Amino acid sequence: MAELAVKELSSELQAAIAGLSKTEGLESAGVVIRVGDGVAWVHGLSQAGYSEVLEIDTKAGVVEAFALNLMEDEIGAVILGDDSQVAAGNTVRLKGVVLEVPVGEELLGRVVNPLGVAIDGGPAIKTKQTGKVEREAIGVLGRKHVHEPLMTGIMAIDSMFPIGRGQRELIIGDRQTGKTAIAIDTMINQARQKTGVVNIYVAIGQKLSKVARLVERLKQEGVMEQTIVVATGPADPASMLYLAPYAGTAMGEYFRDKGEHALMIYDDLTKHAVAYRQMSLLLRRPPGREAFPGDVFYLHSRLLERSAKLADDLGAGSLTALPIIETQAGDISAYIPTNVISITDGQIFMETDLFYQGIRPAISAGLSVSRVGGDAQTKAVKSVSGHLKLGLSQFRELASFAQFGSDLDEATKAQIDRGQRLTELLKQPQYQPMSIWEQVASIVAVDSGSFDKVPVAKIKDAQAALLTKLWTDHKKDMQDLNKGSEKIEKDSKAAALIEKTAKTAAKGFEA
Amino acid sequence: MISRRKLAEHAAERLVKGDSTASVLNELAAYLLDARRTGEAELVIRAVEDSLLSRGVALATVTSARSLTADAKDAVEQLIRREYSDVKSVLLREIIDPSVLAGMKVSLAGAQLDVTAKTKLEKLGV
Repeated sequence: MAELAVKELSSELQAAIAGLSKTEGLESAGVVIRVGDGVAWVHGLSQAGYSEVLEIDTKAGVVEAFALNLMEDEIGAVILGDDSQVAAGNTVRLKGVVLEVPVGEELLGRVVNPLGVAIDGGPAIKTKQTGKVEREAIGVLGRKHVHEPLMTGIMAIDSMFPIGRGQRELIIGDRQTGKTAIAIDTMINQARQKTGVVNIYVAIGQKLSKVARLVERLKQEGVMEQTIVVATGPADPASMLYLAPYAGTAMGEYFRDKGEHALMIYDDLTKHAVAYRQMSLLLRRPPGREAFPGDVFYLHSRLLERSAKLADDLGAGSLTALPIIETQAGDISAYIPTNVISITDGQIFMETDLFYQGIRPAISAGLSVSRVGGDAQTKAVKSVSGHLKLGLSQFRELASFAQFGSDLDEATKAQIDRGQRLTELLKQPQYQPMSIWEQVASIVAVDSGSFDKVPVAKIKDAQAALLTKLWTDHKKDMQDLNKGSEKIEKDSKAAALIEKTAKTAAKGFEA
Repeated sequence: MISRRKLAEHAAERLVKGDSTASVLNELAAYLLDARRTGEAELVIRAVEDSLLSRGVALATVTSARSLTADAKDAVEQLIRREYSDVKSVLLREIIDPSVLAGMKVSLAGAQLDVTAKTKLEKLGV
């Protein structure tokens, strides 16, 4: 045994020596001329490329940085990690590569930092492959239109603002309006519905306690096995926050390029833009609007353009993105929100007022939109929800008149009554995503007028009774309905069955 | 503000033409003092070394534990000539530093070769 250990040591030493001898020869070297706030200014290294990794020899070992400002006399490099060891006079070498992170199945179930290093206390992660952090997006010919659904399990979204695989759908709203909740429910739904979609949650400057809670919840729900969490906290250097979404995307692209499907959640890009602003100002780039640098649009457009549905000859994989943006006092016309709105294929706008009225998820029917998801919506949901958005928007307009009660004409009163029931129906508790048949049955029940006599306060109870009854009495039909491939016409067998059961279920709750 | 690179280009050009080192350095010093950029003196010199290298003059600093033999100096010169084919003259400056233990470190503008025993041991984590 001892002999074996000695042999191993000897071979390791030989390998280390071989590694050293490979580096012999004149190599480019520069020197740190000043350092501070996570940025090192380097003299020399005139061959350095943009975003290339630099190695700074410090007393405590090698610290990596990446070159972002290539100027006539010096290079501005952002330090990855602790800058306290870097001092003026340190030698800087070119690593000869652009920044890469480990990618692969080995990362599933793990919490990592933007460099792919495990931060969950588990064993070190060894992957067979690495992916480029900055990579060009797939070109036009490599893409296909978005046509497969990515069910969020949230009825208001799947029915009115459907999301397709490869789409970029922004979740936007003030703080504490349930933005992250939507993203988490979508991840949970991928596990519940066994869609096989891999989730990559990128926390950008989020409180680590929040990330820990999220990971715990994902574990409880059994979602963590198909999830990678890339976490950065408020105490991490701005360079890490800047890198996090790109690193997460590189991990997602691995699955996309393999013909699989992945879902990216960037929580949130407002903090990402702020981290980039900090870096840019420290790198002395000229500030523009709201002190953001001139390329803040490109910062997000090049990131989100990497989400795509690939063409069949490239394996037909997809990368869907749900970026999150936090607004101030509902102002979606600020700089970063308008930028990201224009980049994405639609947005889900969360309203504070709705949230505090108890309408959760607090999705605004008027301001939300999905520009490409229509083709990706399941036939069953599409056939029953076509008019929902318009009806709900009209109801919200009319809702202010509801207080006049009897002074309204019958048609308006009916519209308000239906709207109230629909609003109630679309309320959904967190961590309870709904499957296709549950969504279809609920919409058909309200739409057919079966719940018209049920008081608004008891709509959710009636809905629960209906779903229980349908599942116990007509399990086979519901399983068929759950495939979502059949249109549900008004006089079809499925619609008649739901309507009949809804009327029976409603009887127990009618006033 | 004149960039360090432009200052260095000018100085190197004059040195190669044959102007005396003292007069070139005096001029540089006067400019840096006048422009309140004396803090950049060392960087300007590095830039001058860079410019000289591109004009075929390699100024190399060799750090070793004891003074180099003629053979070792010759080997260093050969190495530099091999790496930079257009180098016409190589000027070696020797520094004796016992803390490197053995081997040598060759530094010239924008490049270095560190084959000291000290660095090797550090890289091996000893």
